[in-house]
Amino acid sequence: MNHPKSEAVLRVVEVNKRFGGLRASNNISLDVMQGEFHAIIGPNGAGKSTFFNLISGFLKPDSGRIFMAGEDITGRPPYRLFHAGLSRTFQITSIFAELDVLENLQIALLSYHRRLFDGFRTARHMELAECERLLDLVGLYVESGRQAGTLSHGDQKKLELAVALAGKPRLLLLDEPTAGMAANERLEAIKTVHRIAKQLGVTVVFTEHDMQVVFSVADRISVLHQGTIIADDIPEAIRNSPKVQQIYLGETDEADAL
Amino acid sequence: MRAQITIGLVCAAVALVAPFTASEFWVFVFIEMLAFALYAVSFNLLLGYGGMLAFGHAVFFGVGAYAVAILMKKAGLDALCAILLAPLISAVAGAIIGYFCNRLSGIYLGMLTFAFQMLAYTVVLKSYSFTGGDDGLSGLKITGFAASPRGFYLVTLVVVAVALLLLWRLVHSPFGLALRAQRGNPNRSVALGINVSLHRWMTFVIAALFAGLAGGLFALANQSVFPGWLNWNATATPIVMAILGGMNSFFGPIIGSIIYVLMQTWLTGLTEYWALFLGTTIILIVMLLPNGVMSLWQGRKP
Repeated sequence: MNHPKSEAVLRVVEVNKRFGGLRASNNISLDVMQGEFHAIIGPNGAGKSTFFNLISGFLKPDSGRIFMAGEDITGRPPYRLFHAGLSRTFQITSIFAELDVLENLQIALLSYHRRLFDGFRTARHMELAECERLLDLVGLYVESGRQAGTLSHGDQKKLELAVALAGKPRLLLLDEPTAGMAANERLEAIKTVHRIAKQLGVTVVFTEHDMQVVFSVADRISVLHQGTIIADDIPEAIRNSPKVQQIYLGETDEADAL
Repeated sequence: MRAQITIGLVCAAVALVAPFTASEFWVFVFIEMLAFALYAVSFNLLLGYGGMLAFGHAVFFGVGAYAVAILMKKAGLDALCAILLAPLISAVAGAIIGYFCNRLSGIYLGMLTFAFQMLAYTVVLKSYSFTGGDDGLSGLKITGFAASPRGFYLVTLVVVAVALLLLWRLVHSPFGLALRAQRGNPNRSVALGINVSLHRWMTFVIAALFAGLAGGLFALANQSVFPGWLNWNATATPIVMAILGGMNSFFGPIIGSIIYVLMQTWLTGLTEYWALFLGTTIILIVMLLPNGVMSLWQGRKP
C-alpha cells in the first residue's frame, strides 16, 4: 500500500473470531483509506457478516485490534462506536417500522446531538430542517408522517441510508446495500450511494454479491475466503487475479462477471 | 391525538365536580381511581412504550405504600414528608430491580421481575415487627387540609394530575421516542448510539418512582397498608387496566383503571363473584377490541 498509515480511517490488525470449531475470521488485517469506497466480496459463508459485526461492535474479536482514525475501538459497544463516527446498515433492512419516517430520522439526529435523555421537551418539533435535508439527500420523497414499515422496499433502504448518514459518520458500513432489489435496480441504487458518499467525503466499506455492482463503483476490493483475506487490491488487479478466479470457479455466474 | 385531548378534558371536568356531589363512599372510590390510574400509566411506561412485560410492578406500588406507613409509624414523620420520600425509596427499588432486568426481554424479564416481587412479598410478610406481617400497618393519621376525605381527594387529584402531566411530557420527549424505538428494533437503536440497557434501566426507575407515589397515596387514603398490595394479584391489576383501556395510548390505562374500579365497586355490591364478570369483560375486550377501549376513539397507535 502506498498510502501513509495515518490516513487509514479503518485499520484492522490480525483479527480472529471463532465460533466453536469454525474460524469465521482468521487473522484478518485490512486498511481502508480516507474517502475510499471499499468492497468486501467473497462466496457465501466466507465470513463477511462476521467481519462486519466485528468492526461495528456487535461481536468482540477473540484477538487482534481494530482502529478507527488511529483510535483503538476494539471491543467497544456499538452505541459508543456510533458516537465515534461509525454508522452501519444491515443486510435485512433495519428501520423503526412502527414509527413514522420523520421519527426514524429524528432518533438518529437526537442521538447524534446527545439529546435522547431529554425527558421533558416535545420531540415532534426537533431537528426538522436537518430531517428534510437528509430526505432530500437520499431522494426519498414521501410524506414524513408515513409509517416507515409501509414504505416500499427500495424506499426503506433509502430511509436506512439517510438514518445512517444522520450521525455524520466518518466510516459507513453497508451490509449488502442492494440486497432484495431487482437486478436492474441495483446498479442505480449503488451509484446513488456512491455519489452521496463522495459528495460527503464519507469512507464506505460494503459487502455485495452482485459483481457488476462491485466493479462499477469500488475503489478497492478485498476478497474474503474461509475467513481470510486472500486478496486486497484495485478492481483491475482483482479481476485478473488467478487466485480470485479460482475461488469463484464453482460459482459460474459470478466467475463470468469477473 | 384530538380524541385523547377531548377525553382528557372530559375526565378533568368530571374529576373536579363529581366528588362534591357524591357521598363520602364515592369520594374514596374516586381517590382509588386516581391512584390506580397513576399506577397503571407508570406500568404502561414499561409495557406499552418500552415493550417490557415486567410482571412485578406491585413491588414498587407496595414499597411506596409501606415506605409511607413505616416512615409515619416507625420514624414518626408526618404524612407530607412520608409521601415526598416514598417515591424516592421506590425509585431506589426500581434501580436495584432494573439493574438485574434491563438486559432481559420477553418471558425472562417477566419471570425475574416476578421473582423479585415474590421476594419482596415474603420479606414484608415475615418481618412482623417492622411491617406488621399479615396485619399490615394501620392508623396513618393525616392532619390539616387533607384530613377530610374531600380535602384528601383534591390533594390526590392535583398530585396525580401533575404526575400524569410529567409522564405525558416524558413519553412525547426524545427519551420517550428512544424508548419506543428500542421496543421495535433494539439492534438498530444500538447502532444509532442509543445505550438501550441504560435507557431501559432509567425507565424502570421512573416507572418505580410513579408507582411508588401511587402506592403512597393509596396508603394514605386507606390510612393503612396490607401485604396483599405486593402480591402477584396486585401486579395483575395494572396489566388488566392497561389491556382494558389500551396499552397503545397514553390515556388507555387511565380509562382502564376507571372501568376496573367502577366494575369492582358496583359488582362487589351485587355478587361475590365479581371477578367472574371482570374476567368475562376482559375476554370480550381482548377479542373485540384488541387495542382496548381506546381503540373506539382512535384508529392507530399514537
